[in-house]
Amino acid sequence: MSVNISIENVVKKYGSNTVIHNLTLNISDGELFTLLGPSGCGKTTLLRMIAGFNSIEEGTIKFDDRVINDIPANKRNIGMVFQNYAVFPHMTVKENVEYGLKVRKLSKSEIDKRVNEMLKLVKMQEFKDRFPEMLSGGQQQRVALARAIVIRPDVLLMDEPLSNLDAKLRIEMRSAIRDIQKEVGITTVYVTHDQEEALAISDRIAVIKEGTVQQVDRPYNIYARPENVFVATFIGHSNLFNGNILLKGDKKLIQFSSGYKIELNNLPPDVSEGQRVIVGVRPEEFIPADDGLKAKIKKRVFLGRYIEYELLFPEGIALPNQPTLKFSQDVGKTNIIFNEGDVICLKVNEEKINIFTENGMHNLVKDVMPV
Amino acid sequence: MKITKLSKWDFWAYVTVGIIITFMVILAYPTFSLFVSGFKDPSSGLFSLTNFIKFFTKKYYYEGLIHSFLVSISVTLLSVIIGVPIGYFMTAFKIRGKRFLDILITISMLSPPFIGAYSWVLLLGRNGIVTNFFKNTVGIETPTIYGFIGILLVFTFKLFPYIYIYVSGALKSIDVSLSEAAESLGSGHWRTVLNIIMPLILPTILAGALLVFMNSITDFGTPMLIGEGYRVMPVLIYSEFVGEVGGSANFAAAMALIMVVITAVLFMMQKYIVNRKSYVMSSLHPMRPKPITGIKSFMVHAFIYIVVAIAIIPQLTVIYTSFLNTKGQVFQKGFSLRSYITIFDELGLAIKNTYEFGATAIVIIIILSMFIAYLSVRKRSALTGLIDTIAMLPYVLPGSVLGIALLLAFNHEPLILSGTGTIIVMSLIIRRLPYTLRSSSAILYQISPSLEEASISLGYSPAKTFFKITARLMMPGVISGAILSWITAITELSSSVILYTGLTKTMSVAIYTEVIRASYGTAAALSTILTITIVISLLIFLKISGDKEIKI
Repeated sequence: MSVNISIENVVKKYGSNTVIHNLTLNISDGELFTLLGPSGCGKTTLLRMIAGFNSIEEGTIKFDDRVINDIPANKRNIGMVFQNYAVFPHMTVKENVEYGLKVRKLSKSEIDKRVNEMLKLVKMQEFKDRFPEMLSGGQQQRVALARAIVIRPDVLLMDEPLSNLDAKLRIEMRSAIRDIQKEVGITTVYVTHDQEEALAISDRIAVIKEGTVQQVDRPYNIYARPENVFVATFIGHSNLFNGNILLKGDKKLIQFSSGYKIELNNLPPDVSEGQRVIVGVRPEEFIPADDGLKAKIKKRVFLGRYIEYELLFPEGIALPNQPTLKFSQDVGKTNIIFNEGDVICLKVNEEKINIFTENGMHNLVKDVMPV
Repeated sequence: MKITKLSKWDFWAYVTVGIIITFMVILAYPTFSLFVSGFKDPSSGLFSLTNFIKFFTKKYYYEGLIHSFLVSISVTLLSVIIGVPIGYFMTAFKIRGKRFLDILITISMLSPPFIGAYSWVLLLGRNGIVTNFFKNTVGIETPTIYGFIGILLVFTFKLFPYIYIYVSGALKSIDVSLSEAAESLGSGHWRTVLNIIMPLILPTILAGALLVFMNSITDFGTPMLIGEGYRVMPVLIYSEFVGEVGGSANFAAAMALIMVVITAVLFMMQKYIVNRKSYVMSSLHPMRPKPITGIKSFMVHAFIYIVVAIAIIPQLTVIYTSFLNTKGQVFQKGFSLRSYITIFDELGLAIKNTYEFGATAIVIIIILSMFIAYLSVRKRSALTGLIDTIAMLPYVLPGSVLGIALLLAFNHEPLILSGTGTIIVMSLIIRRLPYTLRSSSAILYQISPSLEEASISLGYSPAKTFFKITARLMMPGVISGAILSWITAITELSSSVILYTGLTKTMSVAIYTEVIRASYGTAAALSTILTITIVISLLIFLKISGDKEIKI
């Protein structure tokens, strides 16, 4: 049944173009593991290498202790769910689901039993004699999921399975997938470019950029303590500021270029006086106050639960070339609403913000809050 | 795309090799034989340019080339002049009986080319119905139909449908908002047609025109039957090859090579234009036919109906003639089924051969097309690219040229096939493969590769996946292409007329030989059988494709 997947020093090349650089990942038995990254980062390529549709140029992929590099795709015993569903249009729902069982030479009664169980699990039993053209996108994706799981694969691979569905259905389906995956308990590799989907569904997430893994962690940790500036800005929004470290006795302070100082107690001992850093502040980590960072409100967008303000800081405070700097105000907890053009002062939540090395490659803050 | 490595001997590697071997035998080897023969001096047997020098220095021969160009250029111009307005009218205006007109136009396009020639002879020839009527009743000598004028008439009314279909297809891809935008900016209707619509469809017209040119320059039956003394290239090649008066295979091969060069250039021009033609247009709101009234409506309808009537007259003439009472080769008063009785008695073999050869060829065409389409669409590599290119070769090999090439290749060891049905089936496969191949590739592009991947991930091998999933889903496209291949295969004349013997005669060849010996009744009965077969096939095609138009 379900297996542990080890991906060791894997390389993928298209001609002279290397798409996956020496990538290593370990996916545990039964977990829902998400590969998340911008389009073209190599996440689908990696998934297809596990599936057997892309060759592996270097390194190995193992299911438990079995190297699968040279096992053809049809012998790998994987279930795969595709972005465009790939439900066979010339077969009914039932025929689609039993397709993979037929080649496995099971008895008729066993096939029927498994197909019925599976259709019940994905809540499609009443549609079993319909052809795919009469099903909605969400229903087709349920069929695809049933078809992939019914063969009891070692691994379930899902390639952006929800991206063709509309927003409401996407949310409904992602919890259905999550529930079914937990019920079946199968090791699942899930590819998406949608960070919210990844955060919602995964046990662990690997954030990938240009064929290299940026961070592997549980969803909360990825959001709360992104490993580097890329992850901080790719997952959710982060406002980035110039800062440097001041040491005062055994206290460690971060000074913004405006002179605003805060004390942090979660920096490692090896930071040095005057060390330049990048301060990452999420929009919800600003708190309006009497002192702090001075900012002008450029634009206000009311979003219901939140109000999002676009901010303008004096020259040199924030890192250049950021698309927008944002402050979001929780409507349920505030009495003051600011207007466009107002100049306000913002403190930051010291426990939540992240401090990155000057090159943006590492997060200096290491503690992780319990979920 | 991934380069398929042959080091892995999977199913598709075997298929690739199988197809390459097939092409080597049925295409590359004959073409090569043609080259060798064309460059061989007939008397010394040595490699030389003698044949080409002879061709370009003797007026009798090079005049054939000039004639071919004269005919083809005139036909192309006339077809454009007739086809473009019909295409525009049928798309822009509500035309009464459009569906019916479309079917008539398609029938006249798909009917064997030589039937047109032969029925115009029946009507306007020396002893034609119309000629006799004018001579006997009115006392006027009608102008002769033989020669340049006749060829022009037959070709134009047979080939303008290509332009019509291309143009109406292109017009449908133009969003109506474009012309509305022009009109909102103050441009009048005809000005819009001239300045906006025409430039957009010009590349399509050019592509269609080249197709017409290609068809008219390579056709053998029409100029042979109605051209009389007017020599064009395919006729010259044929008579030189089978000629009783000291014909030379080498010289014929050399002329064939000249033809291949011409058609290759035309083909590349056509491809270039087709590839460049696509203005990216989002046709959310295609042109809707508008109602027209009054004199305008009358003129438009009259024009369309007259053209379509002239185009369909040959078919009707043939059917009518087939039921005329005959005695021997002479028509008698009244009607009878004597022509049909005669052909079933004497030419039953030709009828049987036609369907047998056609069916065999179609089965092989379908298999080859599906495999080649799969390789070139899904397994793109240098090797499969080569296969795809070779599969295009039939486009540049005129029928008579292919006939000669096959005969040169297979009339000696190691493989003697001359005089067999096999060689005719071979020629049909080569000539008619492209129709099925193109529609197979087209439908394959519509099928998502993830369907195949889903099947493979569920445990089916690539070969099993192909037969269980891909082939099944390709079927509608394959079949509609195969019907076009079938229709054109059973009407094939230009290669069969070179390859046939008494035992392998087909209906097309029989019609041709019957016309030559002036047995018009039997020829008409055979033609009627062919026409009925075509109409039935066409109806099946329309049913399957669900499309209202034929795509060429």
